[in-house]
Amino acid sequence: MNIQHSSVSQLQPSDILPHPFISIARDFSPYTGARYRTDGPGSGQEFREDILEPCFLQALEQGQKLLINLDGTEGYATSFLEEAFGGLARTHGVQPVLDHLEFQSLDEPLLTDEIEKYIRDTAGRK
Amino acid sequence: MKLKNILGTLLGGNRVWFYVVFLAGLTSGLLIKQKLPIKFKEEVDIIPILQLIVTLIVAFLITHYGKQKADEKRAEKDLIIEQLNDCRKKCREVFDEFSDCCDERQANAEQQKQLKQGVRDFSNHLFAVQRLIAHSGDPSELVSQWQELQNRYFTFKARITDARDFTNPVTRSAAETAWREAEYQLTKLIFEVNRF
Repeated sequence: MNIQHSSVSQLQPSDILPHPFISIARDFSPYTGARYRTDGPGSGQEFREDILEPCFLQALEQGQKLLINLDGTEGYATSFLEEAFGGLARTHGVQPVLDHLEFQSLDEPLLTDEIEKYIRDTAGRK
Repeated sequence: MKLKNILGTLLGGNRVWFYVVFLAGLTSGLLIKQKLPIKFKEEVDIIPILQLIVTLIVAFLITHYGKQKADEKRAEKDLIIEQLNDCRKKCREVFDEFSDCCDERQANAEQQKQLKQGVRDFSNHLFAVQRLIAHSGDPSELVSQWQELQNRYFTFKARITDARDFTNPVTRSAAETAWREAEYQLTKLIFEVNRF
């Protein structure tokens, strides 16, 4: 999947931000699942491998922040969040992930703290 | 002005009784002066009178503004406690719903959706508490208790949203432990809010 950049022709508010952007509900699924692909559809592993990681690598290469919008889904299981974002930190390191990801949630603002915790927690578990 | 001085407190804040006692004092003072063989000093010393006036003004200001500040602080505390009680209620609701799934030994798609929604509501109540604590000037003890609560919420959420095997009794007991821990921390934070 290609990262979407600011564009005047696309009028969604999220797209006119200066950052590359992923909306989980729009670009992945509004019904997120559990941790692994074997657990069923919409897993954290599926999101990380198919959507998050390619976009993250592109943002890393371009020295940009990847903005992730968490709104519009049914809700997130802890295992989904840990596998997606903690998993990314296990592969690419805590600091690059913290430096190049930015989270946005109006539906559930505490999610940002939660995800950052999972990313930081991987430091001791690598 | 409310009658919250010593006399006001003794008379239960009753304005009528306040004036009755005041007039009785004044009358008895005049009667004592006229009828009893007591001699008052004729010349008036201005210094003690000024001291008395300043003392009365300071007492009034302390009572008035001190009380106002205390009332504001109480309102802040009540607001945080109200939110914390909403959190307790929501936490309990989510656990009850989870417990029902354990009784049925499964959670269908609708029940899983309800659980996620419940956890999200709980999270948003907690977020409201976090913001109120930040607005209250961040007393350090409150902030550390809040961080502890947030950790317990994460554990509770993990037990609820990651449960797969509803036939396993451990699934329920792990969620129950997490619920009790969150509930305990919420209560602890209520006590802490009352103290600050």
